[in-house]
Amino acid sequence: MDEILEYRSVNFKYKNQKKMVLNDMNLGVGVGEFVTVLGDSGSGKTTLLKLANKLLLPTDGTICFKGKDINSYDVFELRKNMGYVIQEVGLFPHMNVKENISILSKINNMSKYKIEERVNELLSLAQLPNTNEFKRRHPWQLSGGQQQRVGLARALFGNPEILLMDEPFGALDVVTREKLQRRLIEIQKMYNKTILFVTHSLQEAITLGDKVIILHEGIIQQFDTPKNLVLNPRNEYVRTLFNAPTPVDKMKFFSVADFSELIYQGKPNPIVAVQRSEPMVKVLNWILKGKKVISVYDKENFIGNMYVEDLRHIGEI
Amino acid sequence: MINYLSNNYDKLLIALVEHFQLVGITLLISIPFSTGFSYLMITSKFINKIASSIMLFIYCIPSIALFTLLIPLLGLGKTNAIVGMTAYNQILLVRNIITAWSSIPVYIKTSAKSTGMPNLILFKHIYLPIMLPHLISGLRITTVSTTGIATIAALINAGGLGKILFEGVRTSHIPKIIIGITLSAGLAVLLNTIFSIFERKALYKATGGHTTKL
Repeated sequence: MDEILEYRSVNFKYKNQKKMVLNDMNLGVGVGEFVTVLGDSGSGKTTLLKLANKLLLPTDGTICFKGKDINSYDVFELRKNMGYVIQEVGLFPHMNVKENISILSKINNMSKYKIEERVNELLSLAQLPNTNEFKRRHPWQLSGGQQQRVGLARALFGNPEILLMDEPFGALDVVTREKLQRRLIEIQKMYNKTILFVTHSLQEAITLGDKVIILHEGIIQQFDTPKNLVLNPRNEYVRTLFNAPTPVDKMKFFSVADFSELIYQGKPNPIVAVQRSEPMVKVLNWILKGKKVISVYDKENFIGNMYVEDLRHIGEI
Repeated sequence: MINYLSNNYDKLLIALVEHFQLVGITLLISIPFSTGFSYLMITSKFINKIASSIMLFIYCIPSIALFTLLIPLLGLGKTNAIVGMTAYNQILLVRNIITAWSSIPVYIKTSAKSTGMPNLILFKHIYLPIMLPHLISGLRITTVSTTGIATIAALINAGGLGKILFEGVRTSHIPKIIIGITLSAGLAVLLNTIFSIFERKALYKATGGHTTKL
C-alpha cells in the first residue's frame, strides 16, 4: 500500500522545555486507511496531528506527504489537502453555515454557483438539511452534533486527501456520537479518504480504526490492527490496556436494527450486553476471530450465547 | 448667556470644529501607532512588559505637565497637543487591541490557521470581524478621553473649546465657562453615542446575532 503520510524519526519538544512530547516517531499511514490514535492526555496525540499540517514544526525528523517532505509544499496547498476537525469544532461565530463551510472559497475565486453547488453537496454528505433557512443559521443556532457535521463539511470543502481529526466526537452525547461515527465511516469508504483520528476512548479507537496507534508518553507502543492488538500485544502497556476490567463494565453492545427480529422473537429491542465479569479481551477475541458469538442478557437473566450478523458498538454507558 | 451665544455664534462654531479636528487628527495618528505596538506586544512578552509599563507611566503624568514637558521640543500649539494626546491614548488603545485579540478563542484561531490561508485573508475575514466590537469599544473610550484632554490643550495654544472655557475662567465670565463645558461634554457624549451604535452593530455581526443586548 502506498504511504500517504509518513513520519521519519520525528521528535518534538516545546521550546524551553526538557520533556520530549514525541520521541523518535516512525510511522506510515497508507492511502485510504482509517487510523486511530489512542492515548491519554499528555501522550502527544494532538501534537502528532498538528505536525502533519505544520501547525507545529518537528524538533527533528521529516514528515512526508505523498512521498515528499511537507516543507516542500506551499502551506496552503498542504493544509487544503488535510481537512482538520477539532473537538471544539471552531466554527466562525460571525459566519453562517454556508459561509463557514465555504471558507476556503475566500482564496480561490470560485463562482457563486459553484460554491452553492459544493455546499449543497457537502450538506447532504454530512446529512444536514439542505434548505436556505439552515444555510443561513449561525453556529449558536446549531446543536452540538450539527456543529460537528458542519465542521466536517467544512473540512471536506477543498476535497482533501487526508482528514485529521482531533477527538471530534468527544463532546457529543452517545447517540449523536454513534450516528456521526457511522456516517464518517461511510464517507471514508465512499471517497477512499485517509483518516487520522485522535481519541482517548479505547472503544472508539478499535471500532473505528482499521489500524490503531497506541501512544503513551510520546512513544508508539504499538501500531497495529485492532485484532493484533488484542491477540498479540507487543508490551505490558498494551496488554493491560485491553485486559483492564474497567472498560468492560462500561461497555455494552447494542444490536443493529434487525438483530432483535433475527434472534429474539417476541422480545423487541433487547439490550444485548456482554457479561459484566468477562474481560474485554475475551469478548473482543470472539468478535475479532469472526465468530461473533456473544453472551446475551436480558436485564440480569442469561439468555444464551448467540451469533450476531452485524455488531456495532455505540459507546459506553 | 443667550446674548453671548447669538453674538459669538461663529467663534463658538470655529472652536467646536477646531476641537473636533484635534480629536480626529489625534485618533488618526494614534490608531496606526497603537496597532503597530499591539502587534509587537502580542508577539513578544518581553516587549509587552516594557511597552505597557512605559505607556502606563505616560498615562500617569498629568496632561498639563505632559504638554509643558513637550514645549521645549515642539513649542506651543496644535502639534504639541496632538503628540501629547497620542502618547496618552496608546495605553487605552493598545490594551483594547490586545483584549480584542485574546477574545478570539484559541480553537477558532487553530481552525482558521488549519485552512492554510494567508494571515491577511484570515485577518480580514475571520479575526477582524470577531475583534471589531472590542476595537470600537476601545476607540470609543479613547475618543471620550481625548475630547476631555483636548480641552486642557487650549492652555498651550492648541485652540478648541478649552479656549472659550479658560477665557471664561480668566475673566470670570460665567456664560463662557458654562458654554465651554457644555459644548466639550456634549461633543464627548455625541461621539460616545455614535461609537456605541457602531459597537452594537459590530457585536451583533461578530456573534452572528447571538447578542442583542449590550
